[in-house]
Amino acid sequence: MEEKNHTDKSGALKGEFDSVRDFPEETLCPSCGKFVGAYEKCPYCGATLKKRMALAIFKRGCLVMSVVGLIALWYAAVMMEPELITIGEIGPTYNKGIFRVKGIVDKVKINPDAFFKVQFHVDDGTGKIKLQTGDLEKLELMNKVPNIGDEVEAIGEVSLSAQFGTSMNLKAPGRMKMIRKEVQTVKIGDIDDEDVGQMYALHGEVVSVSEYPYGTLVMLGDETGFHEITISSYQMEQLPDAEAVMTPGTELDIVVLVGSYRDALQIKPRTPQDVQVSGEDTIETSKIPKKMVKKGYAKADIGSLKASDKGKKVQVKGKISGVKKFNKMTKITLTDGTGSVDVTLWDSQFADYPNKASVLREGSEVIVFGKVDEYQGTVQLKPGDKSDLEPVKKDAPPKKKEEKKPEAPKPEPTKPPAPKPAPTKAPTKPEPTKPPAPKPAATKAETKPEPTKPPAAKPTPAQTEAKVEPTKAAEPPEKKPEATKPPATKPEATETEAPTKKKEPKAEAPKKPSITFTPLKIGEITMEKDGTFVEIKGEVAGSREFSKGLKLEVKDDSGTIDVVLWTNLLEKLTDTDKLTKDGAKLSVKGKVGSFREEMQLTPKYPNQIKLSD
Amino acid sequence: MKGLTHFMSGVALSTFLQAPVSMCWEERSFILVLGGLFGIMPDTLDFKVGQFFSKVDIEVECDPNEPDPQKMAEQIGMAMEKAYETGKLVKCQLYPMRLGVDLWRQYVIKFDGETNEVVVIINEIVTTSQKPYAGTAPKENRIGKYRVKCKMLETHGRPSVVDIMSGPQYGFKRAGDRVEVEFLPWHRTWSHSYVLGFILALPVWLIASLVTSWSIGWLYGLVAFLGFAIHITEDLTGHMGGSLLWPFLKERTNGLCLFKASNPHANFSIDYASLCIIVWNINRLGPPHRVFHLPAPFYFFATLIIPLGIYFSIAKVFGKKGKKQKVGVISAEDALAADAAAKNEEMRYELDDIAVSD
Amino acid sequence: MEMALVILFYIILGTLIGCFFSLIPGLHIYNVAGMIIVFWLGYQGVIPGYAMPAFFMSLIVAFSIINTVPSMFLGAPDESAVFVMLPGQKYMMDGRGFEAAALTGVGGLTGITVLVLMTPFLYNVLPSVNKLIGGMRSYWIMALVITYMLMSEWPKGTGMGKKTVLGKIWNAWQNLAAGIFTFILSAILGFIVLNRTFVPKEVAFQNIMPAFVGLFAVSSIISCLISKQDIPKQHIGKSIDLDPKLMGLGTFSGVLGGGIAAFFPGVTGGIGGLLAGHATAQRDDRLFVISQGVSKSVYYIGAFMLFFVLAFGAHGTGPLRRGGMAMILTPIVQPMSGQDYVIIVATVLIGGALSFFFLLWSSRWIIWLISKIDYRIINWVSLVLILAIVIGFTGMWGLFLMAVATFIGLIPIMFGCRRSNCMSILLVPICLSMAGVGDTIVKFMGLS
Repeated sequence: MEEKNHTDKSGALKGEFDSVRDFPEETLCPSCGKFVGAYEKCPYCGATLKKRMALAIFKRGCLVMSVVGLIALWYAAVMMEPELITIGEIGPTYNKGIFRVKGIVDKVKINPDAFFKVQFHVDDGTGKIKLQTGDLEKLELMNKVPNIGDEVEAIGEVSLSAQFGTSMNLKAPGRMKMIRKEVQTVKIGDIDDEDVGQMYALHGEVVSVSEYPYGTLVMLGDETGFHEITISSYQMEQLPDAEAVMTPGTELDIVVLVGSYRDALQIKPRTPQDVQVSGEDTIETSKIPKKMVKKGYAKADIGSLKASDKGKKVQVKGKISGVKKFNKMTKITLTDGTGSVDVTLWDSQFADYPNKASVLREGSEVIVFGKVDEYQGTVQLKPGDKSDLEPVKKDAPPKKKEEKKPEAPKPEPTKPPAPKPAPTKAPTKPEPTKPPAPKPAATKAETKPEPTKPPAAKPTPAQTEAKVEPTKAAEPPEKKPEATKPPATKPEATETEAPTKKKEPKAEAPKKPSITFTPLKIGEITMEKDGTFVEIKGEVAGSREFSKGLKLEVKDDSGTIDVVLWTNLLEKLTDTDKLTKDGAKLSVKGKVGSFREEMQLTPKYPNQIKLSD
Repeated sequence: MKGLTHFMSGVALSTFLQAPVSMCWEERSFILVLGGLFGIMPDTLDFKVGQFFSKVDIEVECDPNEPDPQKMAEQIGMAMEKAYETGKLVKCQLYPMRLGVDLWRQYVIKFDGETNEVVVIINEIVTTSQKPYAGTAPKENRIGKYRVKCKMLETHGRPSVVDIMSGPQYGFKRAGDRVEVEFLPWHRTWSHSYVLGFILALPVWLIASLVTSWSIGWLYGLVAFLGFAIHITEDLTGHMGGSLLWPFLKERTNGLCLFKASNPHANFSIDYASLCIIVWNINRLGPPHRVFHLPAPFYFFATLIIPLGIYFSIAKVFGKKGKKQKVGVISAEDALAADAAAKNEEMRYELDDIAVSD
Repeated sequence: MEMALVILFYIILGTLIGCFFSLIPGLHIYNVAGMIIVFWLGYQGVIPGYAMPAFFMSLIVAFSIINTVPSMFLGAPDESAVFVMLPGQKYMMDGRGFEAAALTGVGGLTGITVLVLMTPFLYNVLPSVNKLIGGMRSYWIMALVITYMLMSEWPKGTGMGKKTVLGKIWNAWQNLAAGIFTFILSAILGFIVLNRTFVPKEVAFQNIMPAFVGLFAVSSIISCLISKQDIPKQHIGKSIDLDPKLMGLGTFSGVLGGGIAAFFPGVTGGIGGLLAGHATAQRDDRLFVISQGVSKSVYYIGAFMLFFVLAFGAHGTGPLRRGGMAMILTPIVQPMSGQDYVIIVATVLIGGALSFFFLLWSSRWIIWLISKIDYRIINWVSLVLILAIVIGFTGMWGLFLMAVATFIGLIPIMFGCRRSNCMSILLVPICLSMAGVGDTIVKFMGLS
């Protein structure tokens, strides 16, 4: 640093000391000349530094204004109500915002061991969002634990991520507004597949209890019928009186959610607290039907079943021509002379099937109630639970005679019409006028014993009646009685088709309807195409790995779609590098699906994805 | 030791206890923070409170514009004589000489036991980083000396360099036929006592017990005491020591003089060791299943010994060679030598590094 | 190949845009990123999705290196108003601002190099460390940081001239009291801002932006505007005073500080630098300047890089979201594979190199500019621009929020305490929320 003598510019420094910088006048005490910097009063001589008074005022002003401003801001925050928004409008820029949402609860998950003990989905008609909070105790205290169907208005912080989607962390759970949904009381026997998604209050008697690996199945019945109530292990632990629930003969009041699992009806308690021991004794055990009525299952020839019948409820009778055991299920091949069909028996449903070994063997004749499904291009049948598989009794011969008069049983169908139809289910349903309902099924079974031998012969005519009460099958929305009489109710095109098809099955070849892949542009693949099979041609625009495989981004001039290649398929592909390279031109066949509202295509076999030029 | 070192040591020591770590892991307790808080507490009590209660008898005139070393030396020397005459503790305060926001006039104070002199040397102007501006030392009136009439007993052992932020306080008291010189008489006295640590832990225990429960409130008190105690123990590695059993024994116990309180290598080593210990203990005592499974010798060898070995090797290779001396001391030494040469006197000094303040 | 070229294009574009906006005093790159996101949502074809991470990373890289320039050259500390002069300011007041900028830039490049070399650690070891002391369990570490921040601030007054004990204590404690006061006010402000959305819902993700602008940007600009100090003539040197030892020490300290800031939520570069400085006993101004450069790059860049370390997500905690950029991009970007991380590393290297050269050029340009125009005028222009952005994006409520925060942010400047006390706006609410007591406090404040 250059040396220079500080010449009294400020009049302060004197002597022969070298200075290194000029000192602004404001920094020196006017009295003693010493450096005082930011002080308002000289620490050496005590002189007040008037020239810095403006700064002093500024400093005090900052202090005061910061406090006043903060108080004002706090007051505004307290008085401010978070804005009500629609779920559909939430976008990436809403992240971390505090808002109000209002809608109907359609899913609830409570796990006291998780960080977010309560999670529930709310639908306001514009979209769905998951709300979550860890404050279960407060909600329970204020009786504000949400249930399906309840209408809620809650305040929360929006949390958006590309990975986990949109959710909202509840703020002030206690301030959540809630309108509880009233639960309708129905008879147990009135519940069927069309009630999936509904919530009912039941009163019934515990008929039997059985356990499965993840919980307990409680057979609950009243005079109209019975159903299995699935109670998970977790729920069992939370039950107010688990012992009573597991005791046959106990009468319970229970609010249930009707759902489905693997195409079978699954009824679960809404919450563990909704399973209450009734204390009444109004149900006569002897009047509880012994067998479930199989409603809505139209008789059909096996050969008449097609992939387009997917979802239809049918009953078929045939002989087991093959049994194959898999990891978690058993597949039996059922043949009736018109054709053959695979029947999937999940171990979770059929593990404890009575006399399994004798029934599920080649040559035995059975009747199967199930839904038509398709797998790898092949039609198959999926029964719901073990009551959907009935062996045809061996003392069939006498019954063979009866089978000549298959019309005999027909009178039964008349019974169903009267009671069942709509009344009990939909709001219009009056109620329980259906005592006899279950019986027909039994009789049906008896009437159709085993003339399985002449499968080719019989099929359709005998099978066309019996089952219907498809009052429900006919019109899910309102159960018009129209379906009352068997003949009328066979919308079942199957019946009309059956006759023609019957001739073919003799050819023996198990008719496995093939899948047709519709060529489409990527842009044409929309939600309406969900579940269908299409073929696209496009170019690979990118790829990304995920835990269970690889997603290829394929584009053409109309749009882009993700092609999902599961790990087991990837392992079978031979030209993976070429197929997944950016710019590769591909032809892909697969099933249209969706994930987080984005369409995707999933090929199943290696030959469904190939390079094309 | 530096504040961060005490802080981390306090936390590290607390983590050896199972219960506090479990409480931290499972119940979201802040108990471990108490270890750090009380680890830094003794110096906080001293520098933020205690020093202002130390009543000063003489304030030495430290004029930044016209420093007068002779006058300063006389004031200090007279304070020593007063202490000898009265037999009472006489405290003498010095201040920094600030010339600007970033400019300070550095000066050195030396108590020469051999010549029985108080020597004050005015050095260069320095920045807040203690970097001197060359050529800014006064050319005249740079050195002041005062021969004290009584014999002095200098316990501090080295010259004090005064430059930035704050100035030292000396305490002079008669010890037999000499006057003892105490550096920062208010520091490390009552605040560096194990007894005080225990006393301060009591309200912590009471408050914690009332807020939580009596069965675990004592843990909070224990953690507080441990943090406080580790600070005092670490300070024993230096020169000054502390009044370990105040109020029962008010004299300062001298330290072990292992290293300076401001020694960067010592401080960093303890900081790093504390970190390794914290991670080890958390893993061992916190989660139900350990995150990593390493035997202790391997863990500490790999994460502590080897890295510190590398660190010290690098420091040795690239560090300053020879005896370390503060620039200010060197400058003072040169000035004194020049003065001695000019006055044809023979002197011999041994100077070491010192730090004026933590 | 085409994708690689597209990404490279957006890296360069992002670097240039980041460099440009980083020259504006007071404007933070997170504000710029927020504006770009809003623009992009309206015109999604502008930046392809796969190029988004690289583009935004290059913004950050540029900012971490270039933002030294405005803070160095466009503010002269008024000696009659400030208590402490920072080392960078000292350089500038000595006419050596260019050298300081270059030192910071060298530090930034070194930080980038260290980050890239630390990839194996970041990718393989850090997720395990996160299980132990990260996530929701880091509340107590944040509490340690808060405690140390408050306890380690020492009184600046000497008590000189005061005769009474109380007088001495008050003289010494003014800056301490101001620091604690700032801390408390900022914490209250944080609770308010994090529990109410003042800004329009369409920009709710920028709710805290006005507060940060007020606390740090506008308060700094105001302090420059009221300064009576002129900027001395700057010398553009051809070399810098640096040796390997200094470089090593500065890098070590900077990596330590920046790493702490990048990993723990709520802890920013300034706080990390404070801790590292205390741990390594920094004294040399050059050391401080270099370590600041390293710390900034490690903090800003490292925090965003952690977002792409997939292993954090593998442990069920989701990607590590640290720093404003990760928060802004979370709804839009989801790292899917290791390839994303590789792209990010490439971005950091390319962007860092480009930014360093731009730093040297822009430093020269700024030196020329301030020799022609009073730096206060430039600050006025910046102030107007920032006000326009705040009002335009967040409306009058945002302006009010900014004003309150400005007054709070001026307290440390006026009273000589640490500005890092203002970071309690995030530190305290996050720490207490993680500890499970946040809701209690919010309820007490009437905000629940």
